[in-house]
Amino acid sequence: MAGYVLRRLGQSVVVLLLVTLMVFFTMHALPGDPVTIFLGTTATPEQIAHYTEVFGLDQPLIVQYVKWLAGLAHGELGQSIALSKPVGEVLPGRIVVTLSFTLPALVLSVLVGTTLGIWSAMRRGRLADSVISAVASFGVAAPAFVIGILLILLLGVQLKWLSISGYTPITEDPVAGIKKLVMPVIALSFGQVGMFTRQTRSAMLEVIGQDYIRTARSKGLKEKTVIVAHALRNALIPIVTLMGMSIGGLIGGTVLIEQLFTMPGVGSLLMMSIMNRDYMVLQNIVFFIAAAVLAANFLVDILYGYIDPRIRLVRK
Amino acid sequence: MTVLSDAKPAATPNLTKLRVKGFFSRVPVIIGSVIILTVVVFAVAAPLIAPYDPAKQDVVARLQPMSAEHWFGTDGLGRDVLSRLIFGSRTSLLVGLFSTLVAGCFGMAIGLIAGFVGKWVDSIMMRVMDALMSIPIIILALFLGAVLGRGLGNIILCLGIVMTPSYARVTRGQVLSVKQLDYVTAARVSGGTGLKTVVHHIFPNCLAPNMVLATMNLGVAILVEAALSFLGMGIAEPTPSWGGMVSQGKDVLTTAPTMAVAASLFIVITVWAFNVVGDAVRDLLDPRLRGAL
Amino acid sequence: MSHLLEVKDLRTEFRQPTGTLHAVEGVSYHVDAGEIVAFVGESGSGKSVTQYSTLQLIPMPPGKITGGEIWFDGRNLLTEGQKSAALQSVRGAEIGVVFQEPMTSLNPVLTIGKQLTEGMMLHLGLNRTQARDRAVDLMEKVGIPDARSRLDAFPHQFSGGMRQRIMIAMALACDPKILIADEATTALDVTTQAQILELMKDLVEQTGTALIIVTHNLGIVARYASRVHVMYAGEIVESGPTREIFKAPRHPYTIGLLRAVPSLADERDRRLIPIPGMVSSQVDPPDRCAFINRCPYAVAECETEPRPVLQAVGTGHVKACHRDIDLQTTPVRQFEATARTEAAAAPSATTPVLEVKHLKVTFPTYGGFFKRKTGDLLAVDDVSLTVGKGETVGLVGESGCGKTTLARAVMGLQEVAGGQIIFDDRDITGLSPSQMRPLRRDISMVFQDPYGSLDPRQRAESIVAEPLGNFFPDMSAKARSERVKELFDLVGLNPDQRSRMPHEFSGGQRQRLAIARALASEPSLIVLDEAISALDVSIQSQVINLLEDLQARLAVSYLFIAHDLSVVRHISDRVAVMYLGQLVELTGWRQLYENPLHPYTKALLEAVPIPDPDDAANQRRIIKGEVPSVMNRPAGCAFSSRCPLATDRCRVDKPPLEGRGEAHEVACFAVQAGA
Repeated sequence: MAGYVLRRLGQSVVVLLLVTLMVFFTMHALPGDPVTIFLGTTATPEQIAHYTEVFGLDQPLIVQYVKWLAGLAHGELGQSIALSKPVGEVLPGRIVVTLSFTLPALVLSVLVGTTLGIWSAMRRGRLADSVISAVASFGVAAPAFVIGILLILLLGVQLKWLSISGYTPITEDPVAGIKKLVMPVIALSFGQVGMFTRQTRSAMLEVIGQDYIRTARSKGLKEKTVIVAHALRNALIPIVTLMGMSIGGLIGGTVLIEQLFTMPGVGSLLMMSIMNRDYMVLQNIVFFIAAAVLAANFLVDILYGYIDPRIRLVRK
Repeated sequence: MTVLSDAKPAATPNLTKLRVKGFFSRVPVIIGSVIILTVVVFAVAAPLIAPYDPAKQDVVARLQPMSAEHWFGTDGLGRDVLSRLIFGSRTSLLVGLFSTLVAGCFGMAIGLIAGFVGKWVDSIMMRVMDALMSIPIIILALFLGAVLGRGLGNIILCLGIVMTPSYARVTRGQVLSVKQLDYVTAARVSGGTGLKTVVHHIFPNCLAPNMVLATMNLGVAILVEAALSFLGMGIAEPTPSWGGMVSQGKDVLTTAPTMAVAASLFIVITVWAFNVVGDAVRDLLDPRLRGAL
Repeated sequence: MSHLLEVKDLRTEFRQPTGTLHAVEGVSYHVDAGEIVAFVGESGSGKSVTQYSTLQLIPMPPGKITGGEIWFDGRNLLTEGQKSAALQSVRGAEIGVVFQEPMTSLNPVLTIGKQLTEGMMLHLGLNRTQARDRAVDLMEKVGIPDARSRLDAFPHQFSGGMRQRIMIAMALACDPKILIADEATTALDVTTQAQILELMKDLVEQTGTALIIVTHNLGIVARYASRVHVMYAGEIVESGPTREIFKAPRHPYTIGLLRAVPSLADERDRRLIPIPGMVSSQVDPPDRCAFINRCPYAVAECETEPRPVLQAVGTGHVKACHRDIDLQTTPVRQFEATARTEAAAAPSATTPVLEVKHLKVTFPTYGGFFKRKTGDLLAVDDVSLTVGKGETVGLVGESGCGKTTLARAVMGLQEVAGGQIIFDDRDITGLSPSQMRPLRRDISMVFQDPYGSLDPRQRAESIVAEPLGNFFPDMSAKARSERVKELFDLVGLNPDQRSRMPHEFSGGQRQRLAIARALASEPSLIVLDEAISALDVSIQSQVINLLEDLQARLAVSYLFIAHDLSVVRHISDRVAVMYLGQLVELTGWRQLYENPLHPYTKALLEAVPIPDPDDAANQRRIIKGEVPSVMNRPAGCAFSSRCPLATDRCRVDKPPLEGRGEAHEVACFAVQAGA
């Protein structure tokens, strides 16, 4: 197992390096450059040349790339041109904002989705199953911003229960902070809940058709024992796989949610830096997102080992 | 070793027919098919169906609510929302179909080469695919979209690249498993060359799961296009797109919610229809893929 | 006196898209304490569904038990719900089940200990420690070494045979009154199969448990059961005391089954009489005899009469047939020639088609951090073998013995580590794919799985024509299509069906297609790798007959690889026995079966049950132990770890294959020393 873990880790590092390569070089293919955008239309060619030199953008791309990687290794993320601040100072606050609604959304998706999925599978063909399946299939089809819009209309505009947009740190005002997170969390997790419901349902149905479930029943075990002790653990594998994949979906969704609810998180920073061609911010954000996704998938692979002894014991 | 039944296959000839019948016997699939058909008709015959010119501005009739003249009201420039929605189906369908086609071609080519050649070629190709997959779809699309620009062709190429890895993975997996099967060995034993085996046996057997994936991915492509437009990085104005209309409607949500809601519903219903029909196509073509894709 | 279990008029249906499948059609039987009852039939006969229905273990829906009574312990189990406490207290506690597939019937993510103890804790009220102690007892009883330390192991860490022992321990965990063994040994190797059956027989004898054996293997029935129920298309067509069923069968299907199955006790030249055609569909069947389309005794009234009901023909002997048939009755219709086609030319071992000399095949093993190559696994170890013109050489051995690897090496599909393969006086060892290609015209192959060896997206004619296109590119389209028609005729397929897709054919027909493809280029050698083992017994005999006829007409040579000794005996001129990569014995079929010399050959032959309840050989010793994995092959003679004759020398040196007597080679020190 240890050998497998290390090999898998090495593979993730290689992929992450590939990401930096791809991001860095395609990014520099973006039309326009950050200095011109930052200085505006009134800037003189001398000013532009000066700042280009200050930010090191006159150096060959390879040099810039190596410098970035070297900086990353030392925790040095470089300077944002548009914000005139070190990236290292901007990011943490933004990450807190983003996590404050992404984490609850993840937990909600997994818990609600798997519960509904199991419940639905146990009632296959009955009314409850049909209703859940129908709602789930709409959930999968609805992008986060559509659910967000509908929530704003219902809870914000019609019922006036919640304020439409903005972000209040929970540390400042817990009640207002949480109230402002309600809609983003629901909007972000709605589609994910649908996906988890569907995946769990089909995984459970698949497992219940297996020979070993018949064996468990032939031992006279109670149906609840059969489901909980024998079926669920086997159904976890596809569910865990989806967990790994949904991290990417959730992070992607943050861009939409932050745009819709005007929240100062990583997603809106990403949008802003694309507009401003703010290279340093952009490349670091994409790097960290890819790292997070790869880490999640790595964890999922480790989890497989814990769930399934065949994986744990064979991949020595 | 299992004992194979000799009794079963006798009933198979009409089973295909039954499966097709079963395909349409499910109510959601019928509804989904009708919706898709409607959207296709909208896209093809938009100028004939749309009551107004989608670009025609009318400063006097701005942000109007639902009415007999304007079923879904008008937008901030006084353009008819229904007409723009109908024309917007062109954007959604064109981007959805062609980006799926692009992704399918790229992905299958990469998967076939990786799976068949193997060794370092496989490693490099699949690591690049892993790298693409490690960036969430919307973010990768935003990024590539900014590089490529906002024309229709560029958006299609952008989404095509974004969705390539899943096709590459499915194809590679299929190649690797088909390669192991007895009928491929049998083709060699019957004197076939490597290339002939790929063309006659491996490629056709990779096609089915990719077609299934493509039908199921159409909804995703439409969804991502809508998201890009919503973020203002999709197809450029004045060409109407559903996502863009949601975005414009968002700013006037308190005064004129009709446009945002209507455009949202168009997106959800269309994507739902493609998902439902995609699932049904999967069950029809290859029930074993249930859960795998 | 009432019976332990009494089933009356049981009916089970499955809803299918094409209609309702009548899987069990009014089956009645009973089981008394301590007896061994067998249900025999081919796939689709409903023998397993019958057993599952008694415990309501079939999936509902689509399954549905539509009628009948199941009396057990004074209760009608069918009045209890599928998930009722009443039924749960019977399952596992009173009636235990051993399922067919040991590989999939145990939960892969739970330990053996957990799976063994949960039933005991539930039904016997034991606590964890008591249950674990009892589990260890049971595991020792079923012959699992180091029981206590293996309690926390997972199923995948056990071999198939061991898993089946665990299944038996599990089924017996609560001292049930009935044990149902559903094809419990079908997936296992011959020697393991014999061990498991003996084990079950001993256990039920000790405990007074009744045993229901469900099988398609007539040999098992003859050896163990006291009463037999023969099932066909969802009905019991004949049942009675085992001896009477075998000696005086009264139903055409039973008679057909007995004649179709090759047996170790057969004369080799007995031509198998296959049951023609295939089982008619059980989806909404008409009300008449279901066997009518395959019955050689069917007369006009069988067409018009409703389904025959069971009628007594002796004490406890019943049959469901309108006519009064026995072994002497002359058939009214003839489906196929009963005489064996005389060979065009006598097989000749002196003009070899294929010579394998000291062949070695290794597989690299990987391990460690970077998956570096750590060693070589010897899958085929110094094997020499010849196949003469027009000759059939049978190659037998249990799974993992290297017989398929040998076949792949001969076909040039597997790299060879040493030795030579000479085909038609030409050394073909280590040829590149492009050098090998023209030679493939003369060597072809038929695979085990008729479902996996045909491209599902190719039409039947293009499958059969594939070698033609490759080897005779100049052949005109018309000539090719003529040849395809000819080949269809040759293998007994209707040429009108040539544009069908593979899934439209039955298993037996598909194997005929595969054989037609193998014959297309008129090869001089065909390698048949377990080519008939996936087929039902009645279909097997059709294919065996086909192969024999083709050889007589075309003088083609066969390398026939199989694990079924009766089939190999029936078809082979000479037989080679392999064990863990080594050839242990090679001789003519008669010598091998009448005078086996190697202890492994003897063990194999003793393990095969013979479909004759009177055969004294059925009371033979069964070899102990399991085939070790190739990774743990003993040094010296591979068989030394299980051999009753093994000496210290056998554990160090590998005995060479040496001649002993006329055309009889054996690799054993003890035999060579004259023991």
